[in-house]
Amino acid sequence: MRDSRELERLHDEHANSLFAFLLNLTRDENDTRDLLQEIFIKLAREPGLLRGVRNERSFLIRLAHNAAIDLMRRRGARAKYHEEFGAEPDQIFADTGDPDTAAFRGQLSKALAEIPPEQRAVVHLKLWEGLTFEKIAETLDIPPDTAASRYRYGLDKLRVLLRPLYDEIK
Amino acid sequence: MKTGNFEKKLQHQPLRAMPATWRGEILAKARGQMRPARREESIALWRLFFARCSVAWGALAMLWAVLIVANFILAAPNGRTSVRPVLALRAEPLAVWNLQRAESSLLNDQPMDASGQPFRDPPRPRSDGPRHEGYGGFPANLEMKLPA
Repeated sequence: MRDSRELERLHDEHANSLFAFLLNLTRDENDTRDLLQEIFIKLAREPGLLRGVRNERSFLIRLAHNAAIDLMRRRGARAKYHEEFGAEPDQIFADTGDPDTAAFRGQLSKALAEIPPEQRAVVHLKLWEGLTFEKIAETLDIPPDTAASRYRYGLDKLRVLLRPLYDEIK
Repeated sequence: MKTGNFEKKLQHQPLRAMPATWRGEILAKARGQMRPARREESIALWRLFFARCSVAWGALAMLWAVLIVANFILAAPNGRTSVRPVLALRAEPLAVWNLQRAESSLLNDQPMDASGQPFRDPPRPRSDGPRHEGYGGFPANLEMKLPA
């Protein structure tokens, strides 16, 4: 039976990773907090949820992904407001003292917000979670070929969007 | 721009960490949703019991359903298994005499039979005839003559 300590263990091991993934998908810190809360409430209410699961991180990322997709569908109107009035998406990278690096991270964060969410999810899991395409496919419940093609398209778009800055700071 | 270098460049950008203040809030709200330990254990025990004996419980339920249906059918007016009407028929003449006697005592009259004659003794039930051994008054001493 999951007790309080088990819940804390899960939080300490996975919350940071889930936070980064959810922030990249939602681009909104408040939504990210709500989704994280939703996930841990679900874990608290259903202690048997992770019973028999081979990889906790993959399972939790899948929960997070599904919750984020549901939220983005619900908030379709709010997303249009953000686009229309030029609201900046929340920064997903750590702060730095170096101005060039800070500029690059800022541009990268904006560029990621411009690629479709399904490509963004795969790019995130490949680059920052270090998953293989097979693992990504299993986590997101998509075919491995689809995972690979989404990654390729997403990376190509990022390269185009970041080319001027990348060439400048290289 | 080589893909490998570009990917590595992106990979090396560290992601933001979750704000430290969130930990306490998230865990506190989640703990508030946890079920009490005893209820969780008793629910688990019930699930274990029913999961293992589900076939037995199903058979027991079917048996009860059959018994209820059978009882309903046997208790119907067309069923002839009830003994109450038979007893009522046996007791009827005696009950009628008692009633008439009670009425006459109230009216200070001597009880009369159907022909108008006063009753001396209470009427005996028709079935209360000469007693014989065996069922239904069948004489037990009846000799059976076997064919030659």
